[in-house]
Amino acid sequence: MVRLKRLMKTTGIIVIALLLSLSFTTSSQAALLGWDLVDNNKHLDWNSDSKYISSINDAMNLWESYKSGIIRPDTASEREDVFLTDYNQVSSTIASTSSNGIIRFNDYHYTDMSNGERLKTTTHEFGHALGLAHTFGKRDIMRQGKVSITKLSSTDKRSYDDAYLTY
Amino acid sequence: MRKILFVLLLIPTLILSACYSSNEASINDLPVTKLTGSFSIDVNDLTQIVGDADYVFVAEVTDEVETLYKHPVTIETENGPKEVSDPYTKYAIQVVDNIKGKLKNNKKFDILKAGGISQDKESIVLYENDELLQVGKYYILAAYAQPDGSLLVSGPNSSSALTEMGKSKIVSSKEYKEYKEAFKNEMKSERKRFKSSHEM
Ligand SMILES: [Zn+2]
Repeated sequence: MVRLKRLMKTTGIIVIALLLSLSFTTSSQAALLGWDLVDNNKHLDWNSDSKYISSINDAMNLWESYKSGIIRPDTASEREDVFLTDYNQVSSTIASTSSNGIIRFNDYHYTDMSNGERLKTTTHEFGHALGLAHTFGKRDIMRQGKVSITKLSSTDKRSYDDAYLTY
Repeated sequence: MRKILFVLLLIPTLILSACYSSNEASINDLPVTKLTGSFSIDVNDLTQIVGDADYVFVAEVTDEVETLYKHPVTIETENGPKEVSDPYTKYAIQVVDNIKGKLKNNKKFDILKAGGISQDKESIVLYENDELLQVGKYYILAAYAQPDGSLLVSGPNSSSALTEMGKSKIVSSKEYKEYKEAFKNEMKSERKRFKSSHEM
């Protein structure tokens, strides 16, 4: 009897471990930063003096194609939630998002990047402004690195779903 | 018996927490403005940190000189337009040992570190997993030469605090050996590089 119980326990643990490892390999875990720049009306209104405006528009459209009416260009009547701008500095930072509402694109990297790399990074920074943290799937917009990604992964979408619940 | 044990444990806890709170007053009580970034390298891989940097060295931080504010932008806030810049903390350092590159070790000079107290003095701006340097401590720093010859330390894992003091102890420490090993296997990135004005 004791043996049977032990066997059942072990099998249970193995099954759970297998299921867990399966969910890890098929897609990475959704992740949130714990802060976001979305306003009380569930909008992320942006303003910009960046020269990478076409990447900014493409990045906005990528998120908007999944959930619409959230990321919007700033209007005269709305106060911006995030300001996008460029700077130049020799460092490993391609772009950054600060919790005080500024996204900066580093010319040192951006100038020579491909459209796909710029789209990935710009979408990634908007993702931070939406409250998304880094994830580790190869195709995740929210992964690290200077790579070209032009679609949201299922993990990116799940992270956004989770973030939306906190707005 | 249990009660005595409890009290015995409680006393040092109270003393310790009192010490901590008095030490950490002022600047450390400020909220943190978080910087989260996209990086061109895997900042968790030491061979990439070392390979991407221009200089990697052991240094003692001898002074915190000032905070510089760069890249100002004007944003709209509840209270109207406000100028916001990125803080960079300037430290005077004394190089103790060069791991990558050759910086002067007979003379103190200044470096900049991304992050510091915000212009409105209301928060500390820092990258995730990053901390400001402390005067009197030794660090292994990974620095980028700027076009003007100055040195910048920026981002996660660009500084590693050492517990050992003095060159002989440091060079036999585990951290130092890890950086030496990472330099041997460095993953050098293709990028336009500049030269520090503090080279030997
Ligand atoms: Zn990021």
